[in-house]
Amino acid sequence: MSTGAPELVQDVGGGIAPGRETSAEIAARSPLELFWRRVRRDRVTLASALFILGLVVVAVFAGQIVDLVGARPPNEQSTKFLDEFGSASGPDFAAHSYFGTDGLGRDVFSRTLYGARISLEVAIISTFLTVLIGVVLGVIAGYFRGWADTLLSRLMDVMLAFPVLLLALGLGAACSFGQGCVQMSFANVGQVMVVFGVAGAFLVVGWRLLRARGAGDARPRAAELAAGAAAWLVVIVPGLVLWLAVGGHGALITPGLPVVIFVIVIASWPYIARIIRGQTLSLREKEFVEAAKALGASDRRIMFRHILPNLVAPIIVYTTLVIPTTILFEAALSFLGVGVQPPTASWGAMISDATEIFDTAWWYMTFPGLALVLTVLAFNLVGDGMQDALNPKTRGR
Amino acid sequence: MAGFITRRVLWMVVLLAVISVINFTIFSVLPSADPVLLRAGRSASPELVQTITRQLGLDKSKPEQYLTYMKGVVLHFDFGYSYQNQVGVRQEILDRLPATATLALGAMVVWLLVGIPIGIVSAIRRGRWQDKLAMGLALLAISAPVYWLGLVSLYLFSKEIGVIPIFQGAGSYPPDGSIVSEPIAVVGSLLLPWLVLAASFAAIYARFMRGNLSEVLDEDYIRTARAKGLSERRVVLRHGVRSAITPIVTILGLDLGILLGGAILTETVFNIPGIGRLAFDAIQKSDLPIVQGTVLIGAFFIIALNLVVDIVYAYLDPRVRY
Repeated sequence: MSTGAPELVQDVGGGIAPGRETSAEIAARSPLELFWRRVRRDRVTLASALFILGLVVVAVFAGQIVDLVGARPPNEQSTKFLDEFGSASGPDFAAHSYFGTDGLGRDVFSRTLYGARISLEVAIISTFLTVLIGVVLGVIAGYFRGWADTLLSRLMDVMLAFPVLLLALGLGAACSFGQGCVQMSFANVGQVMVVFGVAGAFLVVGWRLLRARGAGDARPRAAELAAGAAAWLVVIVPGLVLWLAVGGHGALITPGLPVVIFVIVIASWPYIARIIRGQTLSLREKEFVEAAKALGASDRRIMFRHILPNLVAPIIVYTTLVIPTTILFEAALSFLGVGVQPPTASWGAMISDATEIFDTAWWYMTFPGLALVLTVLAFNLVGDGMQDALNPKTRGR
Repeated sequence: MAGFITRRVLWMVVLLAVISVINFTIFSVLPSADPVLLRAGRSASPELVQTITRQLGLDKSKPEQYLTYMKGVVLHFDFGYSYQNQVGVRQEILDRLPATATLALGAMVVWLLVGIPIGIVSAIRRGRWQDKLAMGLALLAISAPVYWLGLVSLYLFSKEIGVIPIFQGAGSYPPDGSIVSEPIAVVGSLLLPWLVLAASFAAIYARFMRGNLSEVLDEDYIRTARAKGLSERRVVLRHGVRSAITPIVTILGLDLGILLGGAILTETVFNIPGIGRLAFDAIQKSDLPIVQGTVLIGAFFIIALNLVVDIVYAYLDPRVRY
C-alpha cells in the first residue's frame, strides 16, 4: 500500500491540511473503504444505484403497487378499456389507466411493472452463472497454460464464432415446433451435448497440430490435462447421462425462461473467461505466486486463494457490465418471440406486440421501451462508476 | 508470415467443420417434429411421405445425412431445399445477401465517421463539458435497444406517419432491387436504418477511441513530441490517433462479421429483405434448412473476418508474434 500513500493524503485533503503524522493511519484504510470513499463522491453512480434499488423494490412488490394505485392486474383482458373502435386506448388517469392499454385491453402500466420482474430475474441468474463459469474456466486456462489453455481457449473460439442471436432463435424454434410447442426429449439434448464435446476434442487436437511448437509446453503435466479435460467433461458427462439414463423418459423442454437463461450464459461466458484468462496469465508470474509455490501450496489453493482475490476488481467491473447486456439480450429474444412466453409480461415482448400498432398507440411502445432503456442505462452507469473507482489508473483524476 | 497465414486458414477450416457438426446436430436431431410432414403437409398420403423421405435422404443414418449435407455445401455451395417453397436455400441466401451487406457496410461508414471523431474530441477535452456530454449521450445510445430506437425513429421521422416526415418508412426497400440496380431507392430507404443501426456502434467506438487515445496521450513519446515543438494538432493526429486507432481494427472486424450474418433486429423492424429477416421468417415457419444455412453463413462471416483481422493486425503491429 506504500505507493498509494501520497494520493491518500490528497484524498483526505479536502480543505483541512492533513498532518504528516496522520498519513500512517490513513494508509491503513482497507481497499473496501477506499472504494466506498470514491463511490460516495460520484453522484451519478449513486443516483443510478438508487434507481436500481428502487427497481428491485418495484419488481418485488409489483402486485402490491398495482393494487395500491388502482391499476388492473397485468394479464386481465377487458374490452371495456378499449376505445370505441375496439383498439388500444391511451393513458387515462381517471380510469387508473396510467400508461394506456394494449390491443387486448390489458393495462400497460402493470405489465411494465411486472416486466421488471422478468428482466431482473434473468439478469441476476444468468449473470451469476456467466461470471461463475467464466471466472473458473478463465483462471484454469490462464494458470495452467499449455494443454488446459488450448482446450479452453479453443472452446471459447467455437462459442464466439456462432452467430448467437440466430442460434438462440434456432434453439427457440427447435423446441417450439409443428403443432404448438412440442416435446424435445432429454435424450436429444444429451446427444447434442456429447456430439458437442467430442467435436470439440477433435478441434483441440487440430489446433495443437497446426500450432507452431512453443517452447516448454511439449510435455503436458498431468494436472494441466486433468483440469482441461474436466472442463470438457462438464459438457460430455451430463450429456451422456441425459442420453442414456433419463433419455427414455421424454420430457418437455418448452421455450421460456430456462432456455433464455441457457442461451445467454452459453453466449456470454467466453467474454468473461477471456478477460480473466489474460489477467491470470500475468498474475501467475508474480512473486507472491512463486512464494506460495515455494511454500508447497497446491495448484488449487494458489488459483483460488492467491490469484482469485486479486481478480476481485475486474470481476466486479465486468459483472456490472454483463448485467445490462443480459437484460438487453433477454429483451431481444422476447422481442423476436423466442423468449418469455405469453401472456407473461416482458419488456421485449411488449415492444414486439407494440410493433403492429406503433403508429396509432404511441404509449404501448414508449413505456416498456423507456423502462428498458433507463434500467440498462442505470446498470451501465454503475458499471462505469465501478470501473473508475476500482481502476488505479483513473484514481486521482 | 506465409506460414502464419496458412495455419490461420487451416484453423478456420477446422473451426467451420466443427461448427457445421454442432449446427447440423442442433437442427436435425433436436427437433422432434418430422421434417417429412413439414414438407408434405399434415394429410399426406403414405406414398408421398415415402417419396419425400427418400428425396430428403432421411432414410439414411444421421452421420450419412451429415456427410451428404456437407458434400453439397462444400462442392456446390448447396444448402438443401427450403421446406416451404421449392427454392434452394443457396438461392434464397444469395438473393438476400446484397441487402444485408448494404445495410451493414453503410452503417459501418456512418458509425466510423461519427464515433471516431467524437472519441478523439472527448479524449482531448477529457473531463470537460464536451467530454461529459458526448460520453453521456454515448452511454444512452448503448443502452437503447436497436429495435426500440427503430420504432421510435419511425414514429417520429418516417414519411407515412412521422411527426417530422423526412425519411422513408419501414418496408420501403425495393422488393427485387439492390444497391446496383436501384441505387436511389435503396439509399433512400436505408438512410434511417443506417443511422439507427449505427447509433450504438458509434457510441461504442467513441468510448473505445476515447479510452485508447487517453492512454496513448499519457505516453512518454507524446511528451517527447510536444517537447520538440510539434503543433498540438500534429501531436494528437499523427502520433496519438495513429497508434490509438490500431485496436479499432479488431473490434471492427468482429462487429462487421456479426452484422454480415444478418442484422436480425434492424431488418425485422425496418422490414429489409436481408439474411436476418430471412432467418426470422424461416423460424416462424419452422423452415429448418434455411435456418441451418443462415447460421452456417453467419459463422462463416464471423470466422472469415476474424482471419482478416488477425492478418491485418499482424501487418499493422510488428510486435505480433506469428
